[in-house]
Amino acid sequence: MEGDYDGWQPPSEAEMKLMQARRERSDKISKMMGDYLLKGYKMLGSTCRECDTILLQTKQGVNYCIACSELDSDADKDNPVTNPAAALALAREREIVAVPSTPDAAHSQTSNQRSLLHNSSQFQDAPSGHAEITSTTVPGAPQAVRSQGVTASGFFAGSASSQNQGGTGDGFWSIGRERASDGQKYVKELLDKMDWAVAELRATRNVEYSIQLCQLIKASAEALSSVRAALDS
Amino acid sequence: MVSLNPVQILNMGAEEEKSETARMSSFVGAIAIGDLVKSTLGPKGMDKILQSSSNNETVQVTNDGATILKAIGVDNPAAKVLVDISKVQDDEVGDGTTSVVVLACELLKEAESLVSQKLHPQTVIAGWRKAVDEARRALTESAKDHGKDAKKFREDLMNIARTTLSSKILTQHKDYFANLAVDAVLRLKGSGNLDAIQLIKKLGGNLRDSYLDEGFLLDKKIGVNQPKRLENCKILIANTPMDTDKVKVFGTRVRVDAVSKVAELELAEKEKMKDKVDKIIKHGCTVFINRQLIYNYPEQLFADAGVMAIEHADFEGVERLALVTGGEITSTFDCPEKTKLGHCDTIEEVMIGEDKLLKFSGVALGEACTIILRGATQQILDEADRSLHDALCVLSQTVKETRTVYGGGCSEMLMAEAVSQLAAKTPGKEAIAMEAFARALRMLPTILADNAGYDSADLVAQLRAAHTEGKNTFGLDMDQGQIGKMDDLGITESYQVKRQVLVSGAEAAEMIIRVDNIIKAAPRQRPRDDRCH
Repeated sequence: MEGDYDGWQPPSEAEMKLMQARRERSDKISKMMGDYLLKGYKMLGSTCRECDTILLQTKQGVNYCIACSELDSDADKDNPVTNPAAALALAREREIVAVPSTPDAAHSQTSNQRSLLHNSSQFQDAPSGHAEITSTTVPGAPQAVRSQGVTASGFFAGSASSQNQGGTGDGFWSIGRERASDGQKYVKELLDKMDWAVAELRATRNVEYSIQLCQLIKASAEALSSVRAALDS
Repeated sequence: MVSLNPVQILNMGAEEEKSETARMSSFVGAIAIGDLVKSTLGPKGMDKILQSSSNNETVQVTNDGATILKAIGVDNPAAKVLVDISKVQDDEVGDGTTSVVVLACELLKEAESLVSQKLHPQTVIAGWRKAVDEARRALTESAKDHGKDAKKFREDLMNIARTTLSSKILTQHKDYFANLAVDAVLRLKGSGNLDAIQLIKKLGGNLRDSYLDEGFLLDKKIGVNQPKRLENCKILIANTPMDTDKVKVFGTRVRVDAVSKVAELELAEKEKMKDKVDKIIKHGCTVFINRQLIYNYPEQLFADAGVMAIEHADFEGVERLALVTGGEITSTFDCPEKTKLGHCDTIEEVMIGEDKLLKFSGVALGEACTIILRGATQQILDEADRSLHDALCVLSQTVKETRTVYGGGCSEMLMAEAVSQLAAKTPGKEAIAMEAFARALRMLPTILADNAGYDSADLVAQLRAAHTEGKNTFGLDMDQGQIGKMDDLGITESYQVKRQVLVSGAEAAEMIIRVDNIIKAAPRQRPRDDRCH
């Protein structure tokens, strides 16, 4: 195969998935752009500064970016501040790096970085991967809340309150006890998050968004109480 | 030490986009255009409503790709390329304007996925060039030529007209209109000059009431007191001012010192006009047609002399009239021997709908004819006009280039098959590009099936299997929702149209892929325009 193509390799599974996702997003953008063009918007030759999508111009001369205004961003899912999944990933990476002595941590350290999340879930003894954990951390809130989601602290709340975690919850808490100072950091993170949520709540007029923020604050408070309980015990 | 400040190479206000961003912005813009017109393709394609951006709020309903693309505002360079291609297709052939944009868009989508898989654009282009040559060869081989057999050729023309009209609003009466179009084009006897066919739109009635009339219709009125019907007419066509008391140069003044002088001026003007009319009548014409106004005094003089005078025929009308009656357009009347007069058998007034028109029958150019379109609303009339114009263009092209191919996605599958086979034999990375080309070609029948709501994956797979077995007249039958033989169903297209679609689409896509840097010039600084003060 390699001889035929002069050293060009067809892309790997993961790269294909990435390309597929990007293509779908691009298709969505094209479709929306078509609708706007029919309404009389003008397609410009310049692109948006943030997301590099082609700008549309209204008849009044106002420039408008479809992707920034209407679609969820591509890069947001890797940003820990706005996305729980990314935050979880970040938290786990920190743990793995900080505690090589514990058998469970060592176990996950030997495995591939890319399947870090899978290992963390084994670590947690949760049945499936990532999505499961995310959904259990914000009980009751709809899946679409992910962009205002709970940070790494939610991970702790899930481990304390959810049924799935079973026996290895103890193993996990032993690590938590060893790093009480980190626990303080997590408390601080939670508080920061709640501050941010309250600020957003003050600023917004959207009812849906306000409801989601209130749920976020509630979840954060629960998480906070669990963390404090865990640290004290 | 060298300073590390960024060096300003381009002018203030100029912008530059490099590699990834330039390519992405090209692709997304062009793909948006393609997705826009995709849903109008095929017999089950839908029309689009275009809201005008100007203040008069006219609304257009259309299926024609070129019309849609002309109406949307585009500044993006890649999208502009596609819009231009559609216009060129419209001017060259008349039909296939949507297909060419869709093909270019599909090619770009394939190119985007290839480039993101780290294939160099030049490799892609090299592969595509080979693919285009192969596809063209396959298309030429499959073309049928019935130019010698008059009956079969008329059959072909009817099929082509029906296929062209099948995606437009006239599809309800497509047999009737196909017949109309073929009659009109065959009258031209191969001259291909579509100016001789006039389309007149008259609001009212419904589409079925449209008809073909031999002779030439002019949408104007005869002057007062002049003969309403003339036989054996000699026509003088002119473009001269017959309204001499208007000042033609802005800001001129005429100064006289007494009121009697004003009266003298008026008298002099009258004399001049009388001389002019006399000169005209000396030409021996019985009809005088002027592009500009004819004032009352000369009109009266004409009526006295028994000459029919028609005023305000617009530019197009006058040009057509000159072509059809064989006369010349004159501006001066000093040499009656040298001017060529037009000729026709009768001129009379006819009534269509609620309007009176002038009918010139038995004109010198026997090929001339007029199609009267009736319709319920102005939008329907405009769309019927465009559709019929497309059909007429295609038919006149087919009369010159008599080869035909099968429609309904059959030619596309055929070409894709040939390209796939060539790709299997080609070594190297170009084979991947050629496979992508074949995939893009196969997307056209997929879109046809999607627009109709059938299971496109299933149908296209069946079609592909049929073509691989060698049954290369199979295409999509959108009435039944299955594949069928195109020669039985009579879905035929002109070879010229298909070839132009293939070649233009591939060229446009190639040009956009080659872009890796977009530089926008700074707007030219204009000094403030203070002329109005």
